[in-house]
Amino acid sequence: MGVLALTLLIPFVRVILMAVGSAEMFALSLLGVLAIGVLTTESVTRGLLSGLIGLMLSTIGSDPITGTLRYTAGSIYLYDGLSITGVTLGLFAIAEMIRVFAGGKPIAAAAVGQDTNIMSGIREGMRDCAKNLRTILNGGIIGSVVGFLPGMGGTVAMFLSYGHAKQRSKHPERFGKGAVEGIIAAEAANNAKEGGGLVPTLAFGIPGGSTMAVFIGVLYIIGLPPGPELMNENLHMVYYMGWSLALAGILGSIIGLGLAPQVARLAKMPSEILAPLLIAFSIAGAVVDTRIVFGVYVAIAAGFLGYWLQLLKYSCAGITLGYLLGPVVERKMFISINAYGLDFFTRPLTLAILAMIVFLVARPYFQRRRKRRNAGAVEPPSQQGDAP
Amino acid sequence: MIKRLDHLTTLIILVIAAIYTVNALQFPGSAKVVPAIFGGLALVLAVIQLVAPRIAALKALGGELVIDDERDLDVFRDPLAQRRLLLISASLIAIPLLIAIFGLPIALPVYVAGLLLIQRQRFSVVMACTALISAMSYGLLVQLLAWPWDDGALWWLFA
Repeated sequence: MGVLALTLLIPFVRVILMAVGSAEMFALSLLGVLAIGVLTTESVTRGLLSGLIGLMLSTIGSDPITGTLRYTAGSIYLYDGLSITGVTLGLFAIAEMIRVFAGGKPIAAAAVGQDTNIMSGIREGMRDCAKNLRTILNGGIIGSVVGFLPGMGGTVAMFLSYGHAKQRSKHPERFGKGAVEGIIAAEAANNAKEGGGLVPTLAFGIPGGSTMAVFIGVLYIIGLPPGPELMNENLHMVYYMGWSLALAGILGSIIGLGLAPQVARLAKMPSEILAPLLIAFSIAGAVVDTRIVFGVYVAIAAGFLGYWLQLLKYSCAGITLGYLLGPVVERKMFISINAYGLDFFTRPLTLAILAMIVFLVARPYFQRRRKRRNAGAVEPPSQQGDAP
Repeated sequence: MIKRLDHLTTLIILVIAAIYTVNALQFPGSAKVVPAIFGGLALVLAVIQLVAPRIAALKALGGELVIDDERDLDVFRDPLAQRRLLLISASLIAIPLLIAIFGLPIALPVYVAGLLLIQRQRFSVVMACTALISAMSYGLLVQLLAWPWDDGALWWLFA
């Protein structure tokens, strides 16, 4: 889907990128944070609060505009903010290990004792994909669009697609407990975002994420600087890159299918053994980006926070996304104010995106009213004893 | 009980949001704008979450906690689950102490071995898991990241 997006969008890339300015990016980032919070929990206030907790955490460290230190409590470790790896590993991996360990059952408790047959697993996986073609298509479109927008990244694409699939599903209660649609939606978006991310990267040299930033460096090293020249004089190279990406996806799937049974066995391991191992791996991972022990403390604190807030039905995805997109929201807001003044809210596309946020928050009111109306329509026959 | 803890958590969020907003207003120039907006919004939402279950018009916002999976309540009902939660929490809190004593590359295998031994796992399991984490720790931290293996207080004493 991403490669298709790359192929189809290249002729229109300039027009689209000109339409999406800093004001629209600000509104889109805000929509991303709040949408994920609301879509991944049952309660609007909990969803919005989750996003805001993430946004608040993102303001720790130096201000991206003036460099003023905020909420650092004088600690030099906080000058660059909290470690992204530490926060993410804590909120997801360590929090989940606390839950699994306290529960005393393996992650896949229901599957313990069952045989892991690779061929039947592959067949089942293919059947699930065939049954969820619409989810794949939607995930692909979301991934391509998000990948296209600079600075949004793969995590945003995955969570948006997951939230969308949950919203459309007939069984949203199964999400978070191994619902296959959730996995398909997130993975479809994750794969598609690379193709979408190549569009601004190659056409304007604006990276869609950190991987694309490294990719731009590589393009300069091999003498193919991204921009209009690459698109005009070496267009065939752009298509080579697209096809390489498609081939990489197929090879990745083959390797993944080969490793799947081994990975599945991990989910059947007793939680008493699995939890210490995964916590040790997470702790080691928490220091990889900053190379300071402070990342470990951040991961442990985020682990406790994630466990507690998940128990109370807050959205860890919302917190993470708020944390990742906080600096984007702040930077784009100031650029927009400098460029357009406070009128930036009235730009048509920005206004449309902000209206979507309002709709998202107001949606439960309408759903509740509709439910009440439906209940009112169904109630009289059952009161008269018509029920079987 | 969980509902009371939920209210308490919302109150804590409210207090943190209030402190955060008050602090934000003390930052110079434009540095205060975004934190003040985030903090102010969090404050309003926390108040709404507290009062929403009591006000009919706000009920649709879903301030009330709904537990859809009974297993989530195990930690409040099952003494064994509570003991396990206590054990994993204590072990996580002990990690910074282990790092201070042994240094990160050695603290990780010590942590895994300690937690498995406390649970009276089979010796072969303890050895296998400790060996796996030691190999990961050595390969990733010492070899790839050039992390000194002896940066704990214990090794300084010997030095």
